[in-house]
Amino acid sequence: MASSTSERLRAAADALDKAAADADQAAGRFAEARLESTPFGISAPARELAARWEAALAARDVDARVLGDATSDLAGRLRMAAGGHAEKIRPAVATALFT
Amino acid sequence: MPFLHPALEKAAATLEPLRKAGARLGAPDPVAALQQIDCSPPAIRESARTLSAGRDVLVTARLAFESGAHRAERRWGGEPAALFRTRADELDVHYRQAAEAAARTAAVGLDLADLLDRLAAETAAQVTCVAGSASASAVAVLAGDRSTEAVQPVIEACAAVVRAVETGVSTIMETISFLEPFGTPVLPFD
Repeated sequence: MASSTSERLRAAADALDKAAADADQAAGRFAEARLESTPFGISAPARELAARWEAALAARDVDARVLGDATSDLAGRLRMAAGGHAEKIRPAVATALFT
Repeated sequence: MPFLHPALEKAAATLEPLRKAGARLGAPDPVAALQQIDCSPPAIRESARTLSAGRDVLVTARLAFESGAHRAERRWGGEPAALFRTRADELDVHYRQAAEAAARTAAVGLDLADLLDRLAAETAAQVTCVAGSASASAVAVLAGDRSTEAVQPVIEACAAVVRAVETGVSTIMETISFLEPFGTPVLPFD
């Protein structure tokens, strides 16, 4: 039934929104892990090590944010599909929604 | 300037007579040299643990994502469902890749903290031994003795401290590549 499918897709979208919020929270943790001082030391290699650690933390932050955005985007498309009685959507609309 | 690492702080205090004696002879400053290997492993560990906690949250996100995706895919057919499934499978892989990268980065951070801790402790022990072997000469130089028997051990001890620190610093250089695989995001930008 279209209505039950729509309800299920909306519930699925809720779960995806929760996942997106968690991914954003993970990104926040990765940002918190960044260091303000130079605990690696003051020698040139230690500074290089610190720079690479910061780059690694920033990369993890970006990964989590990209996931959060992509998940949120997919949740939005699910909601649109739910609103349009998903299984009856025309192919062209379906392609626009999920690609 | 205080030291971050307690073993180096203690070693620096032991080196103080040698530093003063060396300064009178124009020898390299052993305490300044020791600063080059100072570090705070607990701060690095804390950063790595925060990263690891973030990875756990990312795993929670993946579980919520999988739950939602499975719910959407159940009894949902046709092209929209197929397109959704393709995109969801792709994102699921990305969640796993991102969590794996975070776990591995955190593990490397903890390893680096341990390595720097060990280097600092070993260097501290080594220079404390050097300071002990030259302590009588340092006292003599500080008392005004400029005989070769007093001067030479002080100059050599100061140089030995510098060499010990340089060895430690060169080991740090070798660890830089450990983080190389983790410096860029693993996920493609859409």
